Amino acid sequence: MNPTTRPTTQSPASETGPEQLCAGWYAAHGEAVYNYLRFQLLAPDEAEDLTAETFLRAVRAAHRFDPTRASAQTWLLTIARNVLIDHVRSARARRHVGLDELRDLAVDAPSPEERMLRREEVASVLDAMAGMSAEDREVLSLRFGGDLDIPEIAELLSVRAGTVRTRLWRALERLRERMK
Amino acid sequence: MSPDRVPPDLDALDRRLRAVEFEPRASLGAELEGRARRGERALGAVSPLQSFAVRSALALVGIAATAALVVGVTPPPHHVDMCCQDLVGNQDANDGMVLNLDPRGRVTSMLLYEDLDGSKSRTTEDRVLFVRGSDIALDTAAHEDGHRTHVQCCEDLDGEGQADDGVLVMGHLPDQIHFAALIRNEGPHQVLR
Repeated sequence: MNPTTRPTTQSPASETGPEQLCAGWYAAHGEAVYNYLRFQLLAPDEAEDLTAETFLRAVRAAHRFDPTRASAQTWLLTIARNVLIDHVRSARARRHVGLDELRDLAVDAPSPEERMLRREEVASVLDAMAGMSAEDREVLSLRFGGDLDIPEIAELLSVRAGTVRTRLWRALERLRERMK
Repeated sequence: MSPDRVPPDLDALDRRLRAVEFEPRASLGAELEGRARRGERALGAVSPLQSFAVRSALALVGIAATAALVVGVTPPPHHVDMCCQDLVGNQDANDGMVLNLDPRGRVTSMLLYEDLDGSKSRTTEDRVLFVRGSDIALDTAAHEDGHRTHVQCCEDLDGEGQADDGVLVMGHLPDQIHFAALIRNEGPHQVLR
């Protein structure tokens, strides 16, 4: 994710309507929320539905957002995490990622062959992640999908930064093993 | 992302994962804005109605109990009618709440209504949104704005051998559900479980 586009903390103005609030938050943080969810879901449609659910919940709970306690992105990812937990409780068993389910992958490769290789590579990553524990998937998704750094993940999960670091490195090791 | 030091043997995988980026469909933002404008409620959201009602009921119970202790007398049963606020989150401050309290200050029933006649108090012209207490007295007619309360009764849902259980659903037509609860049919009365 391009660091220059990293959204900044934004507090809801009381005079802002729900649609403006939703539009503003989505413009600033929609990509991070979507990518966090997408790293844990095998289909773009599911990730889009849960992204929408996340922002609708956020608008409803806007009065509870305190920018002095957490950034908007961390707060929104906390909501997304809860939305995902609710979804997983009722979701079907995970399945294999098909290449047609990667239509939302951002690929800059110039040739069709390179784009296909890129899709296959990402499909293998998501396949490997799908078989990992929920804890591993979560820390990887927050890091690489939600674009959070270790202190932010620690804040969101209410654990120490050292704990996150250990979880993250171990999750990466396990992911690497699964991809061999 | 801050430069948290990645172990050298994991660096290549870390870089590969950082390069993975998905893009939601371009229309999702506009669609969301429209849903927010229409006041569409998230499926798992706790409505202001619910949180406000609970906080208000608890506050009233506390106040009544404290008053009884301080004064040293038992007050008579009474009710409180509070109007008007935006309890349903539709930007209209035309909702009210009636609480009935027993002599000890305990809330025995609660009724939430929409002040349709502008009287700023509960009247028979108002639309009942929710009742919790002894009897359920709900407006089950379909309204022009799609609001609908539906009661389906009676089946044996709890396996006690009696077909006296039902389901209460409140929402908007055709298929949005904002609230659902189990009810029990007790003779002429239906009560929430």
